[in-house]
Amino acid sequence: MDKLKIILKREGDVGLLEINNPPENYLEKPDFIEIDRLKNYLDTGIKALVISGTGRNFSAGANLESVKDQIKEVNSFQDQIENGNRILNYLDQLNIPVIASISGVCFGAGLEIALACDIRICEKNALFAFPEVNHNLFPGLGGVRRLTELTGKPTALQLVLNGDLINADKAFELNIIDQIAEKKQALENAITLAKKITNNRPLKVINAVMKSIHNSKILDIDEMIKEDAKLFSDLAVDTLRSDEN
Amino acid sequence: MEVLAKNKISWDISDKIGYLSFIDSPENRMDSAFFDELHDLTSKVIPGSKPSAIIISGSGRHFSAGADLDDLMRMIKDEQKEEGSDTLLSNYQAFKFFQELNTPVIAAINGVCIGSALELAMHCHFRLCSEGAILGLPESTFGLIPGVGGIPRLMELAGKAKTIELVLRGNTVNTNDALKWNIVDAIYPKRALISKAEQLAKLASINYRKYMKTDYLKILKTI
Repeated sequence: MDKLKIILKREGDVGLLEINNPPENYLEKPDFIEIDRLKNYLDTGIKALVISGTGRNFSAGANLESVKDQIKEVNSFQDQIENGNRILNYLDQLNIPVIASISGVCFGAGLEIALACDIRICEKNALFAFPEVNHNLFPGLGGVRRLTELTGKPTALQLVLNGDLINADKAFELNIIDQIAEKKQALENAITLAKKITNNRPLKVINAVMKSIHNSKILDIDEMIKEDAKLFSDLAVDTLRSDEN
Repeated sequence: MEVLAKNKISWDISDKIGYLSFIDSPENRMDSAFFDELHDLTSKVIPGSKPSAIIISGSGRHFSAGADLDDLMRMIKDEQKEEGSDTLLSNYQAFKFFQELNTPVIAAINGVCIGSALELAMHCHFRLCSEGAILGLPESTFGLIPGVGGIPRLMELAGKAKTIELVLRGNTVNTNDALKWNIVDAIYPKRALISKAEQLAKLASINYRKYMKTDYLKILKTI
C-alpha cells in the first residue's frame, strides 16, 4: 500500500495515523503500513497515537477483489498476513496509548486494527462486523483473540461465525467500544483525550504506565508486581536525580 | 472486645467483625511506620484473631491520602536496587494478604482515598464509599506510577481504557464516576457507611464466596 493511503501527521505530541483510501478506506494489503516507517515516525517524540479513517468511514477492511488476486500467490499472501500480524502486534504492545477514532463502517481487517488499539471511541452511527465468514474466511490478524478478550468466548464466536453486523450501542454493551461520540465528533474526542492523558507527562512516565498495563495481560501477578516495582524505582531514581540537580 | 491501637492503625474485634482503622487523621498517611504496623497485623495479629469479616476504614474525615512520598523516596534512595524496590514488594504482600483472605474484606471509604490508599482498597473484596468521597491515583503527576498493584487491579475492575485515563491523567474521580467505572460497589450517605459495611460483613461472612459478589450487593440494597 503506498504512502498516500496511510497518512502520518501530528498535532503537537499526538500522532495521527489516517487510513486514506476513501470512501470505504479499503485496506489493499494485510500489511497496510511499512513497520519501519511507523517506528521512525513514532520515534520523533510522539506521546499518543490516534488512528482514524479519511472521510465518513474508518475502514471497510480488505478489498475482496484484491484479496482474491493476492491469494493466487499463496506464499506471498501468507507472508503478507504474517507481516500484518506483526504490525498489529506492534501497535498492540506500543508503550504509548493508541486510540481508535471510528466513524461509519469498521469491518474485517479495519475492525482488527481497531481492536489492536488501547481505547476505542466511535460515533453513534458506526457499524461493526467481521464479514469474513461470508467468504469462507476468518479474521486473520489476531482479531478473534482480541475480540474474545473483550467480549468473552460466546459473543466472539457468534460475531465471527455469524458475521453479525452490530451498531455502536451494541458494541458498547459488548465491551468492544469504550466511548460513544456524537456524529462527526469521534476524532475530536480522541485527540482531546490523547492530549488530556499525555500533556505534561514525560514520555518515560507514559512508557512505564503502558508497559505495566501490557504486563498485566501477559505476566502472572507476582511477576507483574516485581516489574511494577522496578518501573517505579527507575522513575523514582530519575526524580531523585533531577531534584538533586 | 479486644482493642489494639498503636500510632497509625487500630485493630479491634467486635461481634466477630475485625475493624482495621487508620488513626493518624486527618490524612492517615501510609508512611513507613504505617506499613510496619500493617505488616505486624497481617503477619501475626489478624491471622491469630480469626475474624469472620474485616472492615477497613479511616478515622476522621478521610480514608487515607496514600503513601508519604518523601518517606518512600528516601527508602528507595537507600535501597537503590536495580532489581526493583523491596519496600514496594513487601507493601504489596500486605495488600495481597487481604485479597487472599477467605473472609470478606470490606473497604469503607470516606473522604479522600488516593494513591496507595486506593491500591489497598482495590485489594479488598468490597468497596463501599460515602457520598463526597474522592478517589484517584495521582502518582503520574509526580513522575511515578502506582507501584503496589494499582494498575493490575484497576485493569480488572475498570478495563484498559479507563485504567489508562485514570492513571495517566492522575486526576481524582467522584463517587458517581467511580461507581460507573466499577471502582466502587456502592455509595451511601456518610452516616450510613459503617452500618452498611457491618450489614454486608454479617451477610457475606456466612457461606462466604458461595454467592456472587453482586448477589450480596443486591441483598444489601434491600436491607
